Amino acid sequence: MAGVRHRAVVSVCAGAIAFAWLIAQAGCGSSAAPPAAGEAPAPHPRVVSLSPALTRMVRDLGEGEHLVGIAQHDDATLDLPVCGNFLDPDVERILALEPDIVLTETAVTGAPAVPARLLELESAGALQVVAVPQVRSIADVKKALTHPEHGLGVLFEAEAEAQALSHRMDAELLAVQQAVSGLPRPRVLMLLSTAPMAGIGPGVTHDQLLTMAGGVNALADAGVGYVTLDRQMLIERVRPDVILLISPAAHALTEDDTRLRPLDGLPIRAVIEHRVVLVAHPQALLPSTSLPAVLAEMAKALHPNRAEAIDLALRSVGEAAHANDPQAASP
Amino acid sequence: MTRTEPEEPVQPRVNRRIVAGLIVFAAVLMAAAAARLWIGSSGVGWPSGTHAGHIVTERARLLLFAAVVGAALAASGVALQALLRNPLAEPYILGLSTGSGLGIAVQGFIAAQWAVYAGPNEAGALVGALLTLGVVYLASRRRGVIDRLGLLLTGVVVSTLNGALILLLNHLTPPGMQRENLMYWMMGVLPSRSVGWGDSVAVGICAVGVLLLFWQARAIDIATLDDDEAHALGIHHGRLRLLLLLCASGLAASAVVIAGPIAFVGLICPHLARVVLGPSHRGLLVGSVLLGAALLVGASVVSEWIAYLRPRAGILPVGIFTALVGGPAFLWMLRPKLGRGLA
Repeated sequence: MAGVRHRAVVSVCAGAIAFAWLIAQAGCGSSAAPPAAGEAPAPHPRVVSLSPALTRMVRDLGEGEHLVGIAQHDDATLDLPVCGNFLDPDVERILALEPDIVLTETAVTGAPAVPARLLELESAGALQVVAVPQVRSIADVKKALTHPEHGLGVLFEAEAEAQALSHRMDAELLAVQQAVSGLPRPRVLMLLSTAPMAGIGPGVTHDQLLTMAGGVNALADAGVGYVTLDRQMLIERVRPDVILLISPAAHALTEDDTRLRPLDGLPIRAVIEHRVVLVAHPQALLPSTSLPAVLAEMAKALHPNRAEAIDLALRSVGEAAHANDPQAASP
Repeated sequence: MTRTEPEEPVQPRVNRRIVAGLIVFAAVLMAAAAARLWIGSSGVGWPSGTHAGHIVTERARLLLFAAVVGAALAASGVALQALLRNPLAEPYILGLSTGSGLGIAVQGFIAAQWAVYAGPNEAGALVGALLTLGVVYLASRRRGVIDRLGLLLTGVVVSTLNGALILLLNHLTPPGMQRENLMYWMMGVLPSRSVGWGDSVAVGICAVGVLLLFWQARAIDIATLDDDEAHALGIHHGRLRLLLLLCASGLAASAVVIAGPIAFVGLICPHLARVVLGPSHRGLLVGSVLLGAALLVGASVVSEWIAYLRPRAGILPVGIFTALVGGPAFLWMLRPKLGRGLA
């Protein structure tokens, strides 16, 4: 008797699970479909961005009004629904926002950096996934704006604005470089954190920015992009003149700051001369249209006596851009 | 006149208790499932709007993933506690979760070093879990039979070794998507994908595993006796231990492949079910399966509700909630025993 009851309970549970599984296997119900995959997006598309870098570019392009959802680690000041991140997007919230386009970057393979679930919803006609080529460098930022097929300019039918933004970026980067040209180039250690001491090596965007800012990367010969260091390495091999602590939106450094304790008493110039400087631009680690502003902050940290000249150079680029095109977006 | 035998009146009472307990557990699961369909990160209530159908499917999909993973972990816990005769045994004691993590860490390292796609997480997790299982099984055999203590110790050692290799690969992999992917997976996350063939295979393994355990429940009951007594009653220890190991590993590996390592479900659900249903493995297994499914579906409800209230936090991994609930609950259940131990 007991066995029969147990078997009945098991059968009912197994049946319920199998039934539910079949429903889920059946896939995505039958909803009205915004643009199918491959079709041109609507003229005023509703966009969910799963990439903070692309969100920034869209806003600088003057198309921020199209954004209806953003990524988890996006600019905290944006008052828009958060839809998870590209590793784990909040599919339900994305669907509830009824976007025409979900904006993301491609992965190293060239495939969109989103889970297959979103691509399946695209196949079902629920939305369109647009994957902009991966953004990891200054050149990538420009490509993401102006790419003739997958660029944001094409997506928002704003090719001219995208070109203008790209040119303005170039001009600002050049202006900062010129403002610090001819000055002595200090040996600089860029740290992402002091505990553990994570340094930035060659081949990454900030290495490129450092050269433009008039510094020499103390980890140029490290061979890899990110290096974990200890105090002994700092004394014997790295020996920086300046340490840039790159920490977006971090509090200003104080005299007895806990972040500086791992560097306490080190017999290196950067510590002896108190040249440990915080780069706290909110998008300091974001490869996007905000890079000129980050470059300016780095250049001012390395060459404080040129801070005014740097500001002046950037202001003139901005004025020139507005003079040429009053519609131009201002980053 | 009085022909009553002492066992007769006891038997139906125990069965009624089991059936009543199972009905309560099933009701809890149904309530959690209903709540999951009602609550989502986009709002509380039945979805409306253009994509209402897709949203319902999305909620049902995550509900099913949670139910299957929770049930598999709980059943695996029952099997391992019986196999090792150790109430502290849980599905990951054999190193399956760290083995799966190692598989994903290797994939991430390959992708970062050579910029090539090394397959989906599920593939890496499955290969890692199977290799670990093979090593643990081969190292724990004594004269052709699985040695309980050997299995436990080998599992702990292999798990530690896997953990060290994960840390090494994580250290060698540059910061970026691959490292984030591993860390995120290690938290125990219900997947953002539709039900694929891999999931169907995992569900099939879970179903077969639970049915095999159910079929062997009486033998498992007998095997909890002294070895010689059990042998005299016709139990072949070698075969039964192998079956328990395969079922427990298959169930745990399926759960890990679907959702990463989710803590405490496999430990706490068998204990809770044992308190209510008693030690008989038929009732215990079904009760644990229902409780495991209910616990993880409940965790998913809380996770979605928090995501609805605090969108900036994103959808918190369910593994965090099971650990937050499971840890204190397990301590509470252990309290009387701890008291005795201290006395």
